[in-house]
Amino acid sequence: MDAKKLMEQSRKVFQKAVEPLGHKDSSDELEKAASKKVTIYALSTCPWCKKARKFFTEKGATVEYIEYDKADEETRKYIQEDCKSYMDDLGFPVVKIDGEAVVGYNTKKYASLLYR
Amino acid sequence: MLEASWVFAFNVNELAESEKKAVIIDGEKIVLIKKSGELFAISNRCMHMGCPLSKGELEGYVIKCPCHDWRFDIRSGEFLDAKELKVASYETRIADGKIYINMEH
Amino acid sequence: MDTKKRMEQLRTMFQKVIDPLGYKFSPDEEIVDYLLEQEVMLEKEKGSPFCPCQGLTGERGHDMKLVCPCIPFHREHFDAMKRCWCGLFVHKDVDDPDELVQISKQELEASSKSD
Repeated sequence: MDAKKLMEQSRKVFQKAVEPLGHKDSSDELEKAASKKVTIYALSTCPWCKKARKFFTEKGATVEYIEYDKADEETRKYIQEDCKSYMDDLGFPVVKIDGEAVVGYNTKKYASLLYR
Repeated sequence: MLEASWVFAFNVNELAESEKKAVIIDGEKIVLIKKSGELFAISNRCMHMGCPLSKGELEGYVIKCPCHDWRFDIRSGEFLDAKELKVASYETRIADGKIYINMEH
Repeated sequence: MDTKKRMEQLRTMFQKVIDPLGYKFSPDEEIVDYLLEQEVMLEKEKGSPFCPCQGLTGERGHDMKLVCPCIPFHREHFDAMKRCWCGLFVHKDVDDPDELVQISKQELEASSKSD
C-alpha cells in the first residue's frame, strides 16, 4: 500500500475514534494534531492521566508519557521543578504542547492547543 | 455526689504535667491530657482513620495524630484544618485525688 | 487484607470525614471504584492511602496533606472546582460529575483576579 493510501486510511480510523466525542475533526485539524508532539506528566495511579493520553493518541499526536511515580529520582526532581511555575501542588496530569502547559484533564483546552 | 454519667478514670497522681494517658470507659477510647495544671479529655480515636491520638505529639494545646499528622485542639476536640470536624471532648473533674470523666458529651 | 474489604473500610471511614465538609462520593461509581482500589494499593506500598492523582515528594509535611480525604488541606481550591482533585469526592449538590473540570489553583486565582 502506498503512503497516500495509508494516510487516508489512518485518517478514517482517527475520524471514527473521535466521532463519538461529538466533534468531527477536519482534515486540517487532523494534520495539525499529527504534527504535534505532546508531553504528558502522569501518575500510574491516576485515571485522568490515562484519559488524557487516550485523547491525544486518538487524535494522532505523538505522545511522550512520563509517569512521575515510576520515574527515577532525577526525572522526578526535573518534573517538580518544571511544574513549579504552573502550580503550587503536584496535581496530575500536566500536558505540555508547544511550550504551553495545561494542568488537569480538560479536553477543550487540549483541543485548542492541538489545533493551533 | 456526682451524677451517674461521671465515671472514675484513674488517680490524679498517675498523670504528670504534659503527659497523656489512654483509657477505655464504657467501650469508648479516651485520652486524658494534663496541660498547664488543667485536665482535658478527648476521644483517643483520630476521626480520620482511627489512630490513637495518645501516641501523638503534644505542642501547646494541640495534639498531632501519629499516623497522618491531623491536628486537634485538646480543649475542644476541634480539628485545626476544618472547623466542621471534631473528635468528642469530655468534661473532667477531680474529687478526693481521683479523676472523673463525664461520659455524657 | 483483601483489597475489596479494605476499599469498603476506607469508604466507611472517609464518608464520616467528607459529610460534614459538604462533600459526597462521586456518583460515577466506576471512577470511585478505580480510585479506591488505587488507594488501597498505595496504602500497601507506602503505608497510607495517598491521593492517586497528586504527586508525592518524600517530604512528610507535603505528603501528609495528600492522604485521602485531603479536602481540609485544599479546601478553597476544591470548593471552587466542586470536586477534589481526582474527583473521588464532589459537592453534595453535584449530580453530573462530568460537568466539572480540573483547574489548577494558580489558574483559578488568576481568573478570579481578572473578574
